[in-house]
Formats: sequence, C-alpha cells, structure tokens
Amino acid sequence: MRLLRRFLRKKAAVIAGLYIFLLLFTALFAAQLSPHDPLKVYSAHALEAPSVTFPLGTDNLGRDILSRIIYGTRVSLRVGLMAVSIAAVIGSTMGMLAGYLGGWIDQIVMRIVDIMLAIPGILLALIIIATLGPSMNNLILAVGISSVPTYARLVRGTVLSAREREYVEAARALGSGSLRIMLKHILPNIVAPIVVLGSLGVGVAILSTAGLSFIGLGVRPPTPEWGGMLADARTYLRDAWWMFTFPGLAISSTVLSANLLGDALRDVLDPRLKQ
Amino acid sequence: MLTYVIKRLVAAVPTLLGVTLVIFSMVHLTPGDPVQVMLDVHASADQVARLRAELGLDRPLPEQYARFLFGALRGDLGNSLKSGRPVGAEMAERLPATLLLALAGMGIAIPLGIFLGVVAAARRDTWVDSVTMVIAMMGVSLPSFWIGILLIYVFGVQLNLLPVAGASSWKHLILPAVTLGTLASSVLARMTRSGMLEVLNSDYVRTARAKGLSGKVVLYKHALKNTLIPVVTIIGVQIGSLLGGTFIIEQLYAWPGVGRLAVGAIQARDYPMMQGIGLYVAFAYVAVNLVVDLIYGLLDPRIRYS
Repeated sequence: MRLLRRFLRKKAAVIAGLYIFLLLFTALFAAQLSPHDPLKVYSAHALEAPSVTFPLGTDNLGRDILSRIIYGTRVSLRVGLMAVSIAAVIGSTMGMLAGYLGGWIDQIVMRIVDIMLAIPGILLALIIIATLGPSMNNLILAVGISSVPTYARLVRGTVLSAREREYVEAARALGSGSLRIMLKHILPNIVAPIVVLGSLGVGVAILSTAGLSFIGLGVRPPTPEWGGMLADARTYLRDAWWMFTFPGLAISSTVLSANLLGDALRDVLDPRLKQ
Repeated sequence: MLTYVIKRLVAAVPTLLGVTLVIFSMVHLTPGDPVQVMLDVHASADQVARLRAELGLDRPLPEQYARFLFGALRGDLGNSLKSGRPVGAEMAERLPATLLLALAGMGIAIPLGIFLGVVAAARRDTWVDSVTMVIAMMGVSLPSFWIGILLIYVFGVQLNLLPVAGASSWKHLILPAVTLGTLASSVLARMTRSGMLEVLNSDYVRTARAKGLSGKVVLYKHALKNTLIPVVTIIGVQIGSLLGGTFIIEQLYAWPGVGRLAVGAIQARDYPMMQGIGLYVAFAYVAVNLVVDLIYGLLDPRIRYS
C-alpha cells in the first residue's frame, strides 16, 4: 500500500501507466478499433492527406495509416514484452547459477557474458536475424538474447550478496538443497531489481524492433509495424508528412511511457539502482 | 602501468577468441547456401561443387574456423562473396567514414551532454532542471531514425539548407552527426547531473564555497572533475552504442561507412564480410574499454593499476 501511494504521487508515471494500459487495450481490440483493414489497398486514395475517411491519411499504396498504427501496437507490445521476458528468464537463470554456485560454473557463465558484451546489442541481434532469417519470432529471440548479459550481471551481483545473508544460512542449516534455496529464498528477494530492469528494457526492445524493421531486417512487409512504416515513408518525405509523423509519434510516445514507468518503478521499488 | 596494459591485452584474448567462435558458428549455421546465392539458378552441380572447393566451403567446419582464425591473424579475412575483393580492403575503405561520423557524433555529445548535466544539477529543482531532464528523457526514448527523418524533412526538404544523402562534402556530415550526437548527449546529461548532485553535497565543495570562490569555479573546477569518472565510463559504453547506432544512421543518410557495408553483407549472405565486420566491431569495443580504464587513472590519481 505504501509503495502504491508512493507510486501514485508521481504524476508523469501515472499518466504513462494509463497510456500503456490504453495501448494494451488497443492491441487487444485492434480489429474493433481500426476504421479499415490495415492491409487493404485503396489504390485510388494513395498518399491522401488526413481526412474524415482516413483520419491519419494513407500511405503510398493507399492503406489507412491509423489502422496500420493500431495493428502495429500488437507487434511492438508483443515483441517488447516477450523479448524482455526471454532476456529476464535466461539472464536471471545464468546470473543465479553463477552467483550461487560459484566456482567453474561462475567462470564459464561470466566468460559467456563477457563475450556477449563484446558484441554490441544491435550487431548481435543482426547476426541472429541473419542466421535465422527475418521473422517475428526470430526478431523476438534476437532482441531478447542481445540483452541477456545485462540481467545475468545484475542478478549475479545481487545473488552474491544475498548468499551470505542470515536467512540463506538459516535455510541451509535447516537442510534445504541448493535449488530450493535459490527458488524459494533468494529469488523473491531479487525480484524487484529484475522487474525494474525489465520495465526499462521494454522501451529499449521496442526501439530495437522498430530500428531493425526500419533497415529491412525486422518484421516482414506487409505486416504493419511502426519502424517499417517509417522506412516506407522515407521516399515520400516531400509529398506526405503524415506518413512519417504519426508512426514516429507512436514509437516515441510508447517508449517514453515505458521509460517513465520504469524510472518510477525503480525509484519506488529499488532506489539503490538509481545512479 | 605497462604491465597493466599487457595484462589487460592478454585477458582480452579469450574474449576475442570467443567472439570469433560465436560469429563463425552463427554465420555458418545460416540456412541457405552462399554458393547458390552467388551462382544463378541454372548453374550445374559441377559448377557449384567447383566454387565450393575454391572458397574452401567443402572443408570440415573446424578446419574452416582454423583457416579463418589464422587468416585473421595475418590480416587476411578472405574475399567478399559479393564483390570478390578482399574483406580487409573493403572495410579499410569504409572505416574512415564511420570513424569520422562516430567522432563527430561524440564531439557533439560530450560537450553538450556534460554542459546540460552541470546546468541541471546547478539549478536543481528549478524549471531549468525540469526542462533539461525532459529533453534528456526524450533523447533516450525517441528513435534515432525518426529524429533523422525529421531533421531531413526540416533542413533538407523544407529549408533546402543541407544535403541529406551521401558523403561528398563536410556539409553531408552535419545531419548524421547531429542525429547520433543528440541521442548520446541525453544519456551523458542524465549521468552528469546525478554525479554532480552527489558531489555538490560533499564537504570540499562546501569548503570551496566558504572560501568565497565563485559559483562557476566551484562548479567546473572542483565539482565537475570529480564527476567525470562515472561519466567517462558512460562515454565508453556510449561509443559502443554509437558504433551500433551508425548501422541505422548510415542506412538513413546513405553514408558510405561500415554500417552500410554490414547491412548489405547480411542481406547478401556475404559470410566472409559478416565475419570480418563482427571481428572489427568486437575489437573496437575491447580497445575502447581498455582506453577508458586507462583514462580513469589520469582523472583520478587515487586509482592504481596492478
């Protein structure tokens, strides 16, 4: 309750939270909310400025931009949330094993993390996509795996200090095994930093997705995706300002909300993470 | 100091080896035969086999890896499957453009980010602070390529002031560098601000103020110096993400750098080129981090290398 009250005191974060909620709603009811089919080509209406029929205008093929942005919400949120989940699960498991078991497991895991950190995230994602081919699932995997090292490092550090605490020692004295201690005693105590990192990671994941689609290595056309829509708009800057303005606003407002929410969660849940 | 550098270089060897192994195996796991991509569909089985042998692709994978590794040590990264020219030579052609872009981006980001951070911290909890931090928050949330498109629209299309594609004059550098630099500066501004806030509460800053030193001297001479260590770390990390950022920015501005080469190589399944670029980026990363660690010592004499 006290945490909730502290959170509600942050106005920007509350607005951001409501906005994310609205986006989730939009993604769920995309079919009901869109005025048009996002894939339908109205050739006679190509590159039309915003009007009553096409509230945000049409693109070069004559597709309704508002409907495409609404359906794009699905892609961005899905990739954002799933990529972060993959990264958090794999990274936390690696960090937990390394931190709790120590020894050669720690050595191997941290060497792998070092290697992953020596390849910039976007390049790692590019290599994974080049290997597996561009598709939605591979995109999720690529964006997720490229942020695994961050979680592994954070969790390992947290576990290292948790391992020495009295409650762990007490559990060990009572005869609990390593797995039980890790899952029942340590995990609940390191959830807060993972949640904070995850909420900040959603924005990064959405940005990476849009960026990869922008250079043609993300979601394949004609699936409506915000970064892909911006790529289409590049050729028509002179003729159609609406083609690049609205998808850009969609990405920016979503990532901004995710970041504001993440910042607030960090302040409330784990002020130590603030640097 | 020298022993420290040597130690760090030795420690980097397994990391770089791991990177080459990761890149090599991922590239070779790629479905799709590069030879099929190079030859047209009607090529006979005989032609395909001959080309495979010529490229060494018929050898067992460990042997191919060893060849790649020893070749790389001698500076020979193989030939591009796309152009047939040596990978090293093509990368060397593109590298200056990317370095120029990255340096220009950092040249904008470092002074701008540090200045904004110091100003925000000095005017803590005033509107100056809020405005600066809102700008910094937008800087980390807005996609670089969208900022780039907006800049192209305003300065290229509407005002017709600056060129928006290619690299034939210094004017071509302005928009891509500004795009890269503004984003990096917002991360720096946030770091600098929180570092400064911590330092401004310390005893020696109070002493300096009590001695009657002017606000500016205290701010820039006493406080900023001690804020720089975390900021330098972030600059190191930023150079890494800046290198990553050039992949997208070069694509947007048709800037003839390594990033554009990389995206082209991925689309064409140009294995040797992908391996070469991956190796170059990892190498640059390790080198930048080493330099950053050495700079700590210059900034903070309390740090001793051992």
